Amino acid sequence: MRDLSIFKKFNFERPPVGVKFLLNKPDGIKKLDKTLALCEMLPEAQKGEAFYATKDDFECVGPLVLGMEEPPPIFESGQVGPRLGLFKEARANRRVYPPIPFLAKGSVRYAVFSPLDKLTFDPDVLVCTANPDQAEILLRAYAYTSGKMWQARGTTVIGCAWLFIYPYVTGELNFTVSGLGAGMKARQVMPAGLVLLSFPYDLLQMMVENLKDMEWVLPDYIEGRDAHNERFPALIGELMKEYLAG
Amino acid sequence: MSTIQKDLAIFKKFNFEIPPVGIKFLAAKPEGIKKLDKILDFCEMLVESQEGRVFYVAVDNFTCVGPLLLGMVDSEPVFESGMVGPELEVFKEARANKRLYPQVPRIDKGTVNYVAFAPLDKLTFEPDVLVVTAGVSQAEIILRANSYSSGKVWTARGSTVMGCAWMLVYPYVTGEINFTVAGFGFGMKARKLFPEGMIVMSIPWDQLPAIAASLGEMKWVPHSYTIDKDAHKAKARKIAGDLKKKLSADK
Repeated sequence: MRDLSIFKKFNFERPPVGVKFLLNKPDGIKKLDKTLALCEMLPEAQKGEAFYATKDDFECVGPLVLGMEEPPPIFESGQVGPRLGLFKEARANRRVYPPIPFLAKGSVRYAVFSPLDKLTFDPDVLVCTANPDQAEILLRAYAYTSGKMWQARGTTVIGCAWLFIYPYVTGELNFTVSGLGAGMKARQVMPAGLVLLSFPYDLLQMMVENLKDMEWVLPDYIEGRDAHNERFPALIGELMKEYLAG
Repeated sequence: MSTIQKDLAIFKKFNFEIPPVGIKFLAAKPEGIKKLDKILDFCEMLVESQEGRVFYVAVDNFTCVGPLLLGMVDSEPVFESGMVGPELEVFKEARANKRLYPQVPRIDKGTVNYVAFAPLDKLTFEPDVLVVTAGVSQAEIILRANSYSSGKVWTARGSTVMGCAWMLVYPYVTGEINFTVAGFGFGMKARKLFPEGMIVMSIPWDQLPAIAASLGEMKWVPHSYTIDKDAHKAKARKIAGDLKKKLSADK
C-alpha cells in the first residue's frame, strides 16, 4: 500500500479520507449502520472509523452518480432543483446532468470510506479537508515538478459527483470550497470556507514525493509584502544580468 | 446610465467588505481618467482600486509579468525560460515553471496599451471584467445566479504563479467566469493582497447581464439554508415523493 503518511504532517483539523469504489464486498470493513447522503459520508469517516456503504445506505443522488441505479426521471428531468429554489426552471436544472461525472451503471456496488490513519486499502481518491494555507501547499505540490495549472469544476447541486467521482474517472485533481454547493450547504456537511481537495490515486505518488521534497512555507510568505517586493525585483535584475551576459 | 451599469447596481446589494472593481483593456488612452502615479504589479492594481481609486496604467506602471500577459512587450525571456520560479522555491526546476507559460492566458501583442480600473461606485466605463471579492456565502449566491437560468457548470482555473492572468485576463479572452481563493497564488500570498479565504471572482462583461438578471429574480437565501439539516432532508424527501407520485399517476 502507498505510504501517505506525509499528509499527517499537515495536522488537518479534519483527517483526509480515502475512498474506494468496489464491485465486490470489501473484507474486514464494517457496513455503515445508517442512511446518509454521499456527501455526508465524508464527515462520517472523519469521525474516525472506516466503513463501506451499499445502495440501501444512501439517500439523495448517491446511487445515481455511483451507477447503482437507473437514472431517476424526476431528478434527470430537472424537476427537483426549481422546487428547492435553486434553478429558475426544470430545463436549467436538466442541463446540469450531462456534464456531471457518473460511474458506469452496475460497475460499483460498494463504496468504502476510511480516515487516513485507519486506511487498510489503497484509495481510489483521497479527499483532504484543508484551510486555505494548507490547500495552497497542496496545490503548489501538484505543480512543483509538473508545472501544471490547477482546474476545479463543480455545479450548484450534486457536488458529491465532482468531489468523489470526477477525480476517479478523469485522473484530475478537483476542489471546492465548503459552502459553495447547495446540497452540502443545506445539509450543513462542513463549516463554510474549508477547501475540499480530492486527488485520484494516480496523482498521489507525485504529491507525496513533492510534499517531501519542497519547502512548505516559503520565505516570501514569512518575510512579508515589503521584503517580497524588494527581493523580487532584485532577483529579476540578477537573472536579467546573467541572461544578457550569456 | 448604460444598461450594463444599471445591471451592476444589484451588486451593491451584497454590501461587500471590499468593493467590486471594473477593469477595461484599451488600445487608446482613456479620457477623463488619471494615470496611476506609481509602479505596481498587475495584481496590486486591483487592490489600489479597491481602496477607492480610479486610474489607468500603461506599460511603464508595471513590475512583474503584467506587460507580458497584456501583450505590451515582446517576451520576457527570464520569466518564460522558467528561471524565476525555482529561485523563489515555487517550482523544483525551470522546466516545470516553463511548462506553465503556454497554458497561461494572454492578450494578443500590441492590442492593449492601457488598462483602466475603477471601484463599482465610481465606474464611468463599461467594464470588460468585474472582479468581486466575496465571502463564501456571497460567492455561493453569485455562482448560483450563474447557473440559475442556464444550468451551467462552474470552472475555476489558476496556477501557482501569475494568478493575475487567471483573474484579470482569462475572463476577458474566454468569456468565462473564473474564481480563486485568496491565499492560493504565490505572488498574491507573498504580497498579502487579500484576506485569506475570500473568494476572488471575475466576471466578463458578456456574462454580467444574465447574472444580474438572475440576482434580481432568484431568492438569495433559499428556504433550505434557513432550516436545520433534518428539516431540509424531510423537505427534499417530500419533494421527491410528490414528484414520483405525480409521475406514476401520469403513466
